[in-house]
Amino acid sequence: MKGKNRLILLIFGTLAVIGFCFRWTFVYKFDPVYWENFYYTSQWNIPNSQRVIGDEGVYRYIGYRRVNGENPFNVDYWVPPMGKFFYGLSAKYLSNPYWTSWGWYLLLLIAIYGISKSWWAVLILMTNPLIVSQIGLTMLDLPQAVMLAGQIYFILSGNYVLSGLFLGLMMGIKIGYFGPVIVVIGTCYLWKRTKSFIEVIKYLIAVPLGYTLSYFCYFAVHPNPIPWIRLHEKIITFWKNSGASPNPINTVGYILINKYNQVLEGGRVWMSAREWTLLLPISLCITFKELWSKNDKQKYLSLVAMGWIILCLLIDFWPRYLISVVPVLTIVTVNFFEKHKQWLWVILLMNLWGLRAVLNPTLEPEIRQVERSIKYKTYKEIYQMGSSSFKMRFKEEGYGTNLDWEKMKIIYKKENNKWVISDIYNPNGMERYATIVNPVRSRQLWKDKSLAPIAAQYGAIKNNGLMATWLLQNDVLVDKELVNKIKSFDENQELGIFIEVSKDLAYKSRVYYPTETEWYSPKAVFLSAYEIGDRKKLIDRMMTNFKNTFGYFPKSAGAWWIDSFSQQYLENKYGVRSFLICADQRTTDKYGIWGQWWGYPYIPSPSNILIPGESNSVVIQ
Amino acid sequence: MSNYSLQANDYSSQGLDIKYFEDLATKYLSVDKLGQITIGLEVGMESVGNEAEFEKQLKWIADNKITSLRMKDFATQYREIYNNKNPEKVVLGDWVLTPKQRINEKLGEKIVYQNDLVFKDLYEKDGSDFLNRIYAPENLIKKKLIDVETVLKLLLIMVGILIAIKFKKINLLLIMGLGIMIWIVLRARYSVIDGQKIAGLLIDNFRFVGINLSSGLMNMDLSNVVAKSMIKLKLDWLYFTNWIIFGIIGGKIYGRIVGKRTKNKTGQR
Repeated sequence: MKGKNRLILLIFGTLAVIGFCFRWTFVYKFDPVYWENFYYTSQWNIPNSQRVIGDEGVYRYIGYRRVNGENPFNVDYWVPPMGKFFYGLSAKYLSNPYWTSWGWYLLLLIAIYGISKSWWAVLILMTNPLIVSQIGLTMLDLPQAVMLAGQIYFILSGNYVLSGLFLGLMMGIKIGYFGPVIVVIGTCYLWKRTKSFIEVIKYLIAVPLGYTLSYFCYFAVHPNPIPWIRLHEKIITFWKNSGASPNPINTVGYILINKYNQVLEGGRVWMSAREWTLLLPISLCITFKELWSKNDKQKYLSLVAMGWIILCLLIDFWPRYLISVVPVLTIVTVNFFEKHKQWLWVILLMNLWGLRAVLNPTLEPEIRQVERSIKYKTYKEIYQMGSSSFKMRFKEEGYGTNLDWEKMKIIYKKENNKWVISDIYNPNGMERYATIVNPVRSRQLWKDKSLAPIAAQYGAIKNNGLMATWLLQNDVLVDKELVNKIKSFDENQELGIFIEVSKDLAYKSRVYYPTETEWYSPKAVFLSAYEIGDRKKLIDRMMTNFKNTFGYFPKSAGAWWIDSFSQQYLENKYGVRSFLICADQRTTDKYGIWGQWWGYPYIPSPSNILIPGESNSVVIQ
Repeated sequence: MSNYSLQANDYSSQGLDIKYFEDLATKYLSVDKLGQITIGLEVGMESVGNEAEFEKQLKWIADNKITSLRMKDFATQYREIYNNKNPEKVVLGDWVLTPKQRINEKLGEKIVYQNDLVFKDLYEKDGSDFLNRIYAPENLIKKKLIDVETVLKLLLIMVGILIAIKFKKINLLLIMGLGIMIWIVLRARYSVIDGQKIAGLLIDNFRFVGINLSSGLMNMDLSNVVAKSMIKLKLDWLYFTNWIIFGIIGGKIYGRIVGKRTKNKTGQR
């Protein structure tokens, strides 16, 4: 395989791994009600509020408001609207702002390829932990980086108006602090290359035009630009009074040794970032050297990077401020090592080493957040950190207010590679659960063959706000009217499979059925009455029918008796995790089941469903 | 009918009411750390006539703030609370339940669980009219450490491979033909239905392809009873010879591939 093909393969492989590790971003659901409540009870609206909302929370919520027509100068006016708007767009129309994060990430990779024409640059940038970490955030640094990359791409390719427009758009994403320096460097480069006043002027005019364009959501509602210009006074006043104090050591300390001094829990402490890699100090040295390069492109890129870093020295620095120049540093470094590819492999390995912390996050931030929420009684944030099953079990309204938190035990787990709270309970207290399970057989066996019985049963469960599981026997699946009724159940209802063999199921599975006996006889109705090969056919048929009807395989199954072979087959092949069997009953006409744990759920043995063991499922009775 | 049942139809038929349910449910829910009850009704069957009692049960659950969980969620919850293991000890009324046994001293009952004993239906079908799954030595058999049938099949395949290696001149087509013959013999059927004689092959349990001596060709699904009662040759053991044939075919194909490669390499030199 050629080197280029190998690199492209590596890029797509890496992208797949990153996508897999950030799979939680694909299933996230934006809840506007929660974010509205959070924002309006946060420090931005109530002085000294202990519900501290982070920047990314503000951006996704304010973006959502912008998309719904909110004036950018009403709320969060000190940060320009464009970046937030795009997060809001996907929050509103896809219920998930992270699609926009993915979009920025991929656009940045495309842009860097456009600038460098190097797959190495793409690979090194896409594995940079600082860049990758932004996929799981709704911050403005990644879109800012995209716009800066756009301005660089167009200036290097000779399209100066578009370059200026992109620079203006960049200043319309985060506060335009870095913009003037890029303008000066761009103007010098442009002049050196063209010696044309006209081109320089076109470039300089395009910058404010781009900035104006970034307020398109404002102009769509208020076309008059005069108030817009005057309203900028608000922004200037805000930043003048922000009180942030610069600390030049922070930027240098972070780049060289991953140490910077920032605010944590009300005090300043020295901290390290998990996204730091050796690329930063190495590329800084290379960039410094390349300031004297004879290659204009390399020199321009180095000047942009150094200008940005110098400006970082003058503000209250956070590591993410460097995100926009990481692509620039990457290109400079890749160009520098163009003839020494082995060093690029070394840098790639360093990136991958740093990336493991981003792709396999630790639990500490979540624990810190929970401790803080308990301390300040901001329980809504704890609820938001709950797993999907946690949120199903507990109601958000008033959650946590009645709990004795000193006695509670918090269990965390990873759900789609993100740490979530799976349970909060009092180890010395009691958890009390009711499992409502309704088996549904063919209507031919019902006393009342109308839909009234199932409607009444469902209505009673729904009216009491309860959850239930409905175990459907295979013959039910051909009853269109009944299936449609079941499909109309709310999301609190689970559909499982009732494992009883009927004549019809046996025929469709090409298995002999003892027609001479009653349908409920153990030698007809239970899987244990059939040879192992036939059991597989019967199970495969009923599971396939279920999937064809509802689009997924059920996770729960039940019957008055399930033999251990079938239990294991269902567990291993179809991922069934919960089984219902009959409780102890020593003597009835047809069945005698005796010996399991008395009235209490258990994890069964893989070879005997009646005794406790180490299966991957739970038996209830 | 189950004793100690929480099912509305069970206790109602014994003249008991919601008070009985409340007392029993409270007992089940009082287990330290995690208490659980299962309720529900077979839709359209035992539910008919018991709707009111069922509603009372649901109301009691809602009023007492007992968390209702779907089966799959409860399984997750159980595993999380008990850290993916069964609890070491559960005390439920007079019952003491552990992974090794269950004891009720008051009733004088003790069952010790033995991991090496299983019900027979783990391996073979149980065609009895009474489902006897009472955990007692007389109803249990020793767990098989190895699956004898699978081992036998593997051995037969190996025998087949050895034959292919030893007798290189065996004709592959002949062997495949033999396999097809055995397949035909095992599926050959004959029967007389309504005075008409039919003979042919039962492709699967129901599909019959053959001839009706009165009316000609047949290609249809037979009924369950007819298909099962057809006369066949008692040569089921022949089924195992198929594994030898598989082995021979596998060995021959492998031999040909290896032979070709060796030839190519020699040619290249």
